[in-house]
Amino acid sequence: MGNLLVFSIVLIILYKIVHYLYQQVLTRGTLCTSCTSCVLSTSSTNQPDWLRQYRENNIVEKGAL
Amino acid sequence: MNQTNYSEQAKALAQLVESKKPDADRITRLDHLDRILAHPILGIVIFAAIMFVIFTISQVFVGPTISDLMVLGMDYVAQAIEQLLIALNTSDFLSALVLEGMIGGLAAVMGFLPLIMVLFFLLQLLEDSGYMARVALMMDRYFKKIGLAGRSIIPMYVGTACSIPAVMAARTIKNDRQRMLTVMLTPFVPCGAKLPVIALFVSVFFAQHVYLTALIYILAIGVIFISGLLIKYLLDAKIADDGSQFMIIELPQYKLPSLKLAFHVMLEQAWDFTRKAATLIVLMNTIVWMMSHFDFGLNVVDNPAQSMLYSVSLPFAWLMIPLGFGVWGLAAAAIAGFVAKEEIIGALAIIFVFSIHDDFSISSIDATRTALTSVAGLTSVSAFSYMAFNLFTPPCFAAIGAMHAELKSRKWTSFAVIFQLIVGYVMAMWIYQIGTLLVYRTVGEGFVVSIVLTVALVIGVIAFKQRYTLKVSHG
Repeated sequence: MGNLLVFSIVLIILYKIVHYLYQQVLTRGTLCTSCTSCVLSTSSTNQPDWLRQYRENNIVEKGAL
Repeated sequence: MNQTNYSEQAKALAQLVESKKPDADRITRLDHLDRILAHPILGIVIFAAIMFVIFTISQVFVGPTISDLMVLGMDYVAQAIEQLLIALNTSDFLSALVLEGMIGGLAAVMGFLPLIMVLFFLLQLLEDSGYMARVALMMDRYFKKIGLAGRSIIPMYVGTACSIPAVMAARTIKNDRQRMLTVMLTPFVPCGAKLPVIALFVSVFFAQHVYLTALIYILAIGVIFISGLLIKYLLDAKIADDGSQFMIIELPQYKLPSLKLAFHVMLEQAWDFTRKAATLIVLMNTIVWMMSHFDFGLNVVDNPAQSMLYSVSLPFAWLMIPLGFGVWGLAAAAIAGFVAKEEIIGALAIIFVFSIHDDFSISSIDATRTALTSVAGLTSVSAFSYMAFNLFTPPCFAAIGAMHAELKSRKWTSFAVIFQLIVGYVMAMWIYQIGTLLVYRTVGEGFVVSIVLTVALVIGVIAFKQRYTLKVSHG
């Protein structure tokens, strides 16, 4: 029971991390989580076309992103 | 009639308005200060001294003191979690994954957070005082010699925090050649992510020579200059120079720096670091731990030499023999560092430090020293070589992506990455081989190979130059 509980918590934590990093890649166009006020977040020029299209089709934009 | 009215109005205004021209010939005390701080030679010495003081305060006195307290706190939390896992009858394997892979690796990286916070607090004070604009002016005359603009110092200063915004800051440089050179050379500046690597190796191997931390940044400037000259030699025929190498910069008034602003910047840097550590570093540490405990058949292995990580990193370890650290674990950590340089610390902790602990505890400097010297087999010279390799090879993949976005060319991005790899590799090789000769009075491992590689490099540079010049001259 303890193993199952710990394993579940580990999986949830890792899923949350992967999901967060995935969102960062979609937002910034690259795997970078360094800066709070990121120029990449507000600039779509650095993103490849397929990523820009995916964002337009699937992601609900917040604010100016 | 209208002209008469205007004339009368002008006379009336002239009586009301007093114009006062500034006395441009008057030399103030601040002008005298600028003559000293921006002096071509004295200014460099003063800059080096100021940086030495900043690094000494952040890396020797204040930073480590706070770091020790933080490590104590993290150790307490980790041991509490260990007790909880024992109470839940968790298997040893799962406990090790949580304590070593996730928490231990994270704690090893987070231990350097206070050093980073203090450093950026002091750097912000320096910038807010107005001094850094003088540094930019001072560096202009030197940067011109390698084809850079004085304005290039700004991306490089930003690069002390992170290479990605630094590379993007090069966008303000209008001259194409200067911008390309700046993008290629800025990653040589040790960023905030590389600082934990520097701090770890200096504290473990060079505790009596803490000035080496500041020396690393001076070395980085030297690498930038030499690399700039080399690129200029290799590609001068290709990158056109339109002569616009002047720099116009406003020198702000000197002022007392704002503690509030510096505190705000420090907290922002701390939050960025923590967020990165708690996400990307934890994930990478988990992957490194899993790869070091499983083979390709997904069977649990007790001997790391049978693990996936060993198999993947061994070929790279062979390549690093002439550099003095042909050990699979060190190669694995260096490879992991291309995702995030802080991950080098976490990977070293997982591969070496925790492997020698019977009871889990947050790694201490003594444990790290034992691990890196006895287990990894590093000497002072090879440790410096390892540090140089990780500092001067390309930064993280995200920074490479930013370079590609600015260079807008796969050819130039590939050139930049290969160039940085060669610079980092050769620097580490020369540091190890020459250092071993000077310090230990013997030849290092792979000495003959290093001679062959050096000769091959010189021939390669000359051949590249001749071929490139021939190609350009023939259109």
